[in-house]
Amino acid sequence: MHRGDLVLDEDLVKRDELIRGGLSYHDVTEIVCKTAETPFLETHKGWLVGFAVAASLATMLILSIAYLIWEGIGIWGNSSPAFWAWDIVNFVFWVGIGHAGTLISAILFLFRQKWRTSINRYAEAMTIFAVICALIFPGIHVGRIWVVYFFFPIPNQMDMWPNFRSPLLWDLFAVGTYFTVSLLFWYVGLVPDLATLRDRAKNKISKLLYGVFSAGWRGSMRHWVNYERAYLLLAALSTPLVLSVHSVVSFDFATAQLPGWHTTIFPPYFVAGAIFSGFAMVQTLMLPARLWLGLKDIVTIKHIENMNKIILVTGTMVGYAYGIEFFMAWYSGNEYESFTFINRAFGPYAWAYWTMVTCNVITPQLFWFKKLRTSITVSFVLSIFVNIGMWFERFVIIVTSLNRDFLPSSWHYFTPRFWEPVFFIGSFGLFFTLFLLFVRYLPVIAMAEVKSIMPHGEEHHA
Amino acid sequence: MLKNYGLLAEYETPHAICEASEKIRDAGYKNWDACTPFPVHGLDKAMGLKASILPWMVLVAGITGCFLISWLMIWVAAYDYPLNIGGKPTWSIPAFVPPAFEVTILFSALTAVFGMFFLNGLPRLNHPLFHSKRFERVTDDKFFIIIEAEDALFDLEKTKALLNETHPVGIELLEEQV
Amino acid sequence: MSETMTENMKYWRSVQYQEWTNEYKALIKDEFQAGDSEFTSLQRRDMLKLMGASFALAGLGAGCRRPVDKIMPYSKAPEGTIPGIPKYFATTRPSVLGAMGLVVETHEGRPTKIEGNELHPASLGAASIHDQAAVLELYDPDRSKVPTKPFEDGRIPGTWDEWDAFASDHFNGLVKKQGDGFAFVFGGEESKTLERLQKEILLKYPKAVFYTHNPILPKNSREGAEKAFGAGSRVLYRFEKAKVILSVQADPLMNGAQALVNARGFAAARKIYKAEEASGMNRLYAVEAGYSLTGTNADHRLPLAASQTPDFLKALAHELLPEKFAAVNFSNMRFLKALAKDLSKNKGQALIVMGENQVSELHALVHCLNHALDGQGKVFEVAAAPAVQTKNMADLVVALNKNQVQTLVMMGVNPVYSTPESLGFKDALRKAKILIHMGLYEDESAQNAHWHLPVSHFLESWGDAKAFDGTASLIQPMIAPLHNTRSDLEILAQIAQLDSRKGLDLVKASWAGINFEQALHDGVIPNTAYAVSSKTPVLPSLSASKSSSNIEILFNLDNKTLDGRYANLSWMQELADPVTKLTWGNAILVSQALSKELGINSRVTTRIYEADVVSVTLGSQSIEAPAFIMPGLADKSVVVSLGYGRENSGIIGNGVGVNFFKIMPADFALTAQGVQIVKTGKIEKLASTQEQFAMNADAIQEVSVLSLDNRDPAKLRTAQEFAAGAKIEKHPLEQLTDAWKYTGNKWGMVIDLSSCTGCNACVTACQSENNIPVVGKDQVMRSRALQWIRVDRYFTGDVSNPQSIAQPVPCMHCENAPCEPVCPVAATVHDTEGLNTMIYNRCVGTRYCGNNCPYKVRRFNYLDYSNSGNIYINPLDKERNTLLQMQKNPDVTIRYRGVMEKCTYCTQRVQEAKIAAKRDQTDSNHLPDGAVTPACAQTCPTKAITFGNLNDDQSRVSILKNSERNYNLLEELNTRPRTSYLAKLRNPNLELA
Repeated sequence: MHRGDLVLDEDLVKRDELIRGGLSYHDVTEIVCKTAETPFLETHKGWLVGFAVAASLATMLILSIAYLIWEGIGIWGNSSPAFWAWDIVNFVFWVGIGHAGTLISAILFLFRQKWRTSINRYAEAMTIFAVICALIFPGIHVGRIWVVYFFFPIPNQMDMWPNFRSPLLWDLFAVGTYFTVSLLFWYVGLVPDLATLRDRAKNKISKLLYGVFSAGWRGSMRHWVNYERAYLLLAALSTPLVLSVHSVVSFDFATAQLPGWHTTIFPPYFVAGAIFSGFAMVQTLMLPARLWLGLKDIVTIKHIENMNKIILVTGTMVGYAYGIEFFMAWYSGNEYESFTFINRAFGPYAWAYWTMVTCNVITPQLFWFKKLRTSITVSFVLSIFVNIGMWFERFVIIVTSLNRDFLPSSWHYFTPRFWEPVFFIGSFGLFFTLFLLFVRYLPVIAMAEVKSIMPHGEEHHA
Repeated sequence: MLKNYGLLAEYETPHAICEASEKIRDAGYKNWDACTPFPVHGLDKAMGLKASILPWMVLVAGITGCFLISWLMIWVAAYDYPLNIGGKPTWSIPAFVPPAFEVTILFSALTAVFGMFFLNGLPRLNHPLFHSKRFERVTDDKFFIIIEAEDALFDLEKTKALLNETHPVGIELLEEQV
Repeated sequence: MSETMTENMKYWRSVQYQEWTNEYKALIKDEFQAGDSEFTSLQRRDMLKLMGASFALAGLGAGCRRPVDKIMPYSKAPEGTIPGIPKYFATTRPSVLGAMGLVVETHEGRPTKIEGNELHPASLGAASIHDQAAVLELYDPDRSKVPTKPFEDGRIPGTWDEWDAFASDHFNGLVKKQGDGFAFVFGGEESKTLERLQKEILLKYPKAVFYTHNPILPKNSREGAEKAFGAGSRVLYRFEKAKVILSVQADPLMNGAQALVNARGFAAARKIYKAEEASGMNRLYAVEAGYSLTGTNADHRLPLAASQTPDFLKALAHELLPEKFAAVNFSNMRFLKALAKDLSKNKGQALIVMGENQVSELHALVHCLNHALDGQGKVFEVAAAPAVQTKNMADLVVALNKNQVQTLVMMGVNPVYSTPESLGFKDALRKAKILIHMGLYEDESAQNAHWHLPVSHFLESWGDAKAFDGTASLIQPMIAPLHNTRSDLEILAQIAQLDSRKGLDLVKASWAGINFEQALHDGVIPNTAYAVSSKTPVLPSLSASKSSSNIEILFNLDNKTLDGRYANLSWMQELADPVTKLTWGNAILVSQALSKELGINSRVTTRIYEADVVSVTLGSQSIEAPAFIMPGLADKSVVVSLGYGRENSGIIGNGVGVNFFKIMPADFALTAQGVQIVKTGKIEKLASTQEQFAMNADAIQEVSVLSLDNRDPAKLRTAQEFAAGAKIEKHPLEQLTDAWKYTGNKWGMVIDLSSCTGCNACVTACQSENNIPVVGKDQVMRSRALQWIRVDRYFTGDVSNPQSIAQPVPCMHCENAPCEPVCPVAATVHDTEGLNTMIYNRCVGTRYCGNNCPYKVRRFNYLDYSNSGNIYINPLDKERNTLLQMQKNPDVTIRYRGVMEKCTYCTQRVQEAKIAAKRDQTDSNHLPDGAVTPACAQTCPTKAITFGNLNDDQSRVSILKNSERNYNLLEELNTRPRTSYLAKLRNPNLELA
C-alpha cells in the first residue's frame, strides 16, 4: 500500500476509527487551520496564561545562563568525583524525549502505520524543541564556553584539531545531525500545509510569512512526485539516525571505564529508554492539546492506545535492561562492577534508584489492562510518571556511578545547589514557549497527510 | 501586454482528476500539469510521469560525505597532527565510525531536501496559477488540471473541448504578463 | 615620607585602608634610593629591592589571561643575574624547637619556594610543611605593615619616626631607673645574636626581667633530660640506629625538634626491597591515648590513657630492671611482656621516646631505661647545651599583679591568645603602663599594645639561630622588607641603645672570626654543635601515680597551625590533617566507645561529616566544640588540638575552629583529668577530605556492608610474609594495539608506602611549587580542593584500634591514560617522554577526563580560585592579590576558572633540566639520574618518592620498579601507570600477632 492510494472497502472500518465523524477535506482544513487563523485579540485565555508562564521561565533560564557564564559552573553542586551531574542528566533527558518525534514520523511511516498522521506533526515539533533544550546543556556546562568552538574541526592558528576519538565529539556530530535532519523533516512536512494557510490567509503579514515559508508550493503533481520521494528518503535516513543518536549518547558512558557506565548493553537500552520517554512526553503534551484544540475527532482513543502499547513495550524493555545490568555485574565477578550496582540499589542514592524503578518499570505495567490503556486520565498521569522516572534513570546512571568509583578515598556525595533546579525548570520554560508558539501559529496536524488517507469516495463528499 | 498562459480545469475528486489526466495524456499533451491538495496515488501514472531521480543524487551525496569526513579524521589524527592520545594508535578506525555515519546521513538528508526543491524549481513565490481565485483551494479540497499555451498541441478551442469531455466543475483561461 | 604621613593623620580614621596602601606604595617607591645601600659588598640586595618593589607593584598576572599590569624593566641589570633563571640561597628558619636550615628559590629576587638544606643537621634536605609555608607567611597580605598605636577605641597607623621619638625618651627614662619595672617576654628561640643583645639590654637595664612564653617549647622533655643528666643537658635521638622503637604518648615523626631527622632515620630501616633484607627491618611500638602520626606508622599500637602511662612505664621498668623497680600491675601484661622482651633482646638498638604530655620525672625515668638498654651513644646522645634559666608566664602574671612591671615588651609571642584563661594574663596585662608588641601580625596581644611594631619576616632580615643539636646557622634576607618593618634584632638593638643597629652589623658582630660568606653559602656554621656529654642518668624520685577512671583531656599542638602561629596560612588550613583528614578547623576527638556513652552521634551523613557540638568543661572553664569520632583512641581520653579559634590572625585564620587554650589548666599542663562533656544538640559541619570514608564507625561498617573489604588500594604485607616470598598479585594484561615507544627519557615514579609516614610535606611542596590556590572550607566540603597530590588514609582492622595506611596519590601518568581519549579537544595528551600533559589554554572544561580517571587525581577550577575567587581577596584592597602574586612560581601557569588541572610530574623542572643539558652540550634526551626531582620527591623527609628515567635501568626508579614489593594501583584496568607503589611492610612482633 502507498500513501494516498484509493481506499478499498475493507479498509473503511479501520480508517473510520482513525478519522471519525465523516469529515470532508474541507472540514479537516477548517478544523486544523482554526487556531492558526484566530486573530491575536481573540487568542484563547488559557494559551495567553500558559505562554506568559512559559516565557517568563524561559527568560529566567537565559538570565541564569548569563550568571553561569559570569560566575563559572561552580554555582552548581558538581564536584569531584561527580564532575557531571544535573547538567548532563538534563541533556540526556531532553535528547531522549527528542526521539519519539522522528521515530513516529520515520519508523511508523516506513511501517505504513497510518495512525501516525494525526500525531506526527506534534511529535516532530516536540523533537525539535526538545533537542534545542538538550543542546543548551552541553553547551553551557563547559568550563570555558567562550572557546567552545575548539570542538569544531575549523583550521586555526594553533593548527590543532579536535580529537575524533572522543565520544563527546561523536555526540556533537550525532546530535547536530539529528537536529538538522529533524528540522528539515519537519519543514518538508509543513510546506504543503503552510501553502494552505497562505492561500487562506486574510491579512498581509501572515500571507507574506506563510507565503515565504511555503516556498510557492502549488500542489503540482510533478512536484508531489519528487516531494514524496524526498519524504520517503528522509524517513529512511532518519530511522537509522534516530537509533544512532541515542546509541552515540550512550557511548559517552559505555566507552568510559567507570563501573556502571562501561556496559555493552547501553546502546539498545538507551534507545529503548529514549523511545519510552519520548512517547510519554508526546502523551503528556498531546492529551491536553487534543482537548483544548478540539481535535478529538482527529486524535482518537485508538491513537492513544497505540502509544500506550509502545510505552508498555519499551518500559518493559528498560526494566529488562535494569535486570540484566545486575545480572552482568554479578556474573562478571568484577568486584567494582558488583559494588556499583549494590551501591545503586542500597547505597546513599537508593532513593533515586527506587524512584526510577517505580516510575519506569512498575507503573507502565498497568497498561496491560485495556481499560486503563484507553483512559485519558490514566494515560496522562502515567506519562508524567514515566517522564519523572526517565529523568531519574539518567541521574542514577550518571551520579551514582560517579560518586563512588574505584578508590574509596575520593568518594563524595553529590548534592545540587540552588541553581540546578533553576536551569532545569528554565529549560521546560523554553520548551513550552516554543511549543505554545507552534500550536498557536502552525498547523498542528499534517493536513495533506490526513487528507491523503481519508476515504476518497463520493459518499464522503460534503 | 498579456498573453495566454493556459487553460485551468477544476475537479472535485481524485477519481475525476485521474480519469481526466488519462485522457489528456492520451491526447499527447506535454506541457500540462495536475495540482492537488495531497498526492493522489495513481495520478502520476495517469499523467505518465517518470520516477524521480532524487534517490541517485542522495546516494552520491551520502558517499561523498562519508568519504570526506573519514579522510578528514584520518588525515588529522595520523598525518597532519599525530598525537599520542592515551596510547591509542593514530589510525583509530573504530572510533571514527560514528562521525562517518552521522556525516553520511547529514549529507544525504540535505541533498534530499534541497535536491527536491531544486528539481521542483522551488522556491518560486509568484506563478501565473496564483492569479486564479479558484486555484486558492488547490491546497484545500479542489483538484486542478492546467494545460499550458506553450504546448505544441495547444489550441484554445480544441483544448477547451477536450477538457470539457473530462467533466470539470469549471474551466478558466489564465493569462500572464510578458 | 613622614611629612605626608603626618599631614594625612587627620584623615586616617575615616580612610585608614586607603592611607595604608598609599603609604605602602610610597614605601615601595622609596626603595629605589633607600638609604642603606652602603652594603657595597651586597649588590644582590639592591637588585632584590628593585625587583621586589617592581614586582610588588606589577604583580605577575601570568596565566590563561594575559597580564594587564606593566612590569618594570631593569634599568641596570644586577650582575650575575639571568632573568628567568632562579637563584638559590641558604637561610635558616628560627624556631624554639631548633632552627631549620633552608634553601630558598628566588626568581628575580622574589622568594617563591622553600626547600631543605642538605648540609643542615635538622633538615638533611627535607623541609616540613611549616618551613615551606613560611614563604606564604612572607607574602601574607594580613601581615602588619606599619607601627600602630591606640586611638580612641581602635588603633591607627603610626610611623617609625614617632616610635623613635617615643623610644628615645621612654628608654632613656628607664635607663635612669636601672630598668626597674622593665620586663620582656621572649619566644625562647635560641640565637647567639639574640642572646648577645639580651645581655646588652641587661647591661643597660640591670633590673630588667626576661620571661619566656612559647606553647611549643618542649618543657617537660627538656626538664626531664636535665633531671636525668644535669642542667643544660638535652637528649638527641638516632632513630636510624634503632631496631626497636617505643613511642609513649609521643609523636616523634611529626612534631618536635627532630621530627624530620627522626622520620628519615625511621624510614631508612624500612626500605626493604628484597626478601632477604626483611630481617633488618625496625619495629615501632606506639603507646598513646590519641592517634598520632607515629601511631599510624606503628607496627603495634596500644591505646592507653595518659593517666595510666606512669603505671605502664613503671611496669615496663620492672620488666627491664626487676632489681631496681618494684612490680606494678598493668592492664595489658601480654603486650607489656612481649614489648619488654623485644626491647631487652635488642639492647643497644632499642629506644624509648617519651611524649611531652608526661611529667618530667617520667622523661627522666625513660632516659634511665634507655641507658639501661645500653642505648646511650648508640640510639641516643646527651648534648651539653648551656643551661637557660627563665621565668615563665605564671611569674609574669604575679609580677604584673604586684605592679612590678611598668614597661612590657613582647617579642614574637602572642600570650593574650596562647595562655589559658585561668592564668588571668589578659587582666594582669592591663596593669602594665607601657605595652610594646613586636610581631609579624597585629595579633590578639597587639590589640592593647601602646606600640605595635611590625617586624620583618625571617626571609627579610638578618639573624642567626641554633638547631636542635646546637649547630648555628645564619639567617640572610632573600628580599628587602616588603613593608615598613624592622627586624626584631634591630629593634632590640635600639632598646639596648647600641650605636650600630643594622641587622647585618649585629649578626657580624656576634660571629666575628668565621668565614661569613662561606657560612652564608653553606647555611651552617661549622663546629658549633653542642658537645656530647657522657653523663649517666640519675633515677628521679617518682611520685606515686594516681590513675583515675574519669575522662581525661589531652591538649596537642595542632599538626598544621601548631599553637596558632600559622593559623593565617591558607596552605596550612586547607591541608588535611594527616590522621583525621580534617581541614579548616579542629574538633574534640572522642573514641567510639565514649561517644556511645555520651550519646554523641557525629557521623558522615550521606552529605558531609556532621558533628554533634558538645560543651567541654574543665575546672571553671567551659567551651563548645564539635565532636569527631576517632577510632583508636583510648576509651576515656578525648583529644583536642590547640591553635584554632584565633580572633586577630587575619582573614584566613579568624574564627576558624575552637580555641582550647581557653580551658587549658593554668600551668599549661597538656593533660587534665575529670573533663565534663555534654551534648548541646547543635550540629556543626566539618570539612574532612575523606568524608565518605571518614574514620567513623558508621562509615567503616557501611563500607564493609557494601563488600568493599576486598578493595585494597594500599597493599599491605608483613615483613615475615615478605621474607617468605609473599608476592603481590599481578594482573598481566595484553595490549591489543602496539604500544607507543618511548626512546630517550621515559619518566616514572615509585612511592614507597613503607617509608611514607603520611606527613603531608609533599602536599605543601606541590602547592607552593605549582601555584595551587586554596579554595576555602565551603569548597573543600564540596570536594573541590585543588591539591594535586593527596595523601589517602585507609584503616584496617578493629574500629577500637585500627591500623592506618597513608598512600600519597599524584597523577599516575598512565601510558594508556583513560582521561586522554575522551577529551574532545585533545587538551590532554602524552608527550614524547610519557608525561600525561594538560594543556590549559586548550581546555574547554568538559570535565570528561575527570570522570574517566579511575584514580580521581584531576582537579577542576569550578570557580576563579586563582584570581577574583581567591579567598584572600578583599575588594577594598587591590594590593592583597599583588602581594600573593609575588609568591607565584613564574615557571608554572596560573590556571583560570574553567580548566582542568593535575600533577604534571613538575614538567617545568623536567624542561629546566633539559634546557640546562642543552646549554651544557650534553644529551638532553638521556638526562643523568637525579637530574630532575619533582617538588614532592625533593621535600619528602623519608625519601619515599623516587622519580627518574625508566629507560635507564641503572636509575634508582628502575631498580625500585624491579622490587618484589612494586605494584600498580588498579593494575587490572591496564592503564599502565608510570607511578607505581611499593607495598607497605609492617613488622609485627609474632608474640603479639
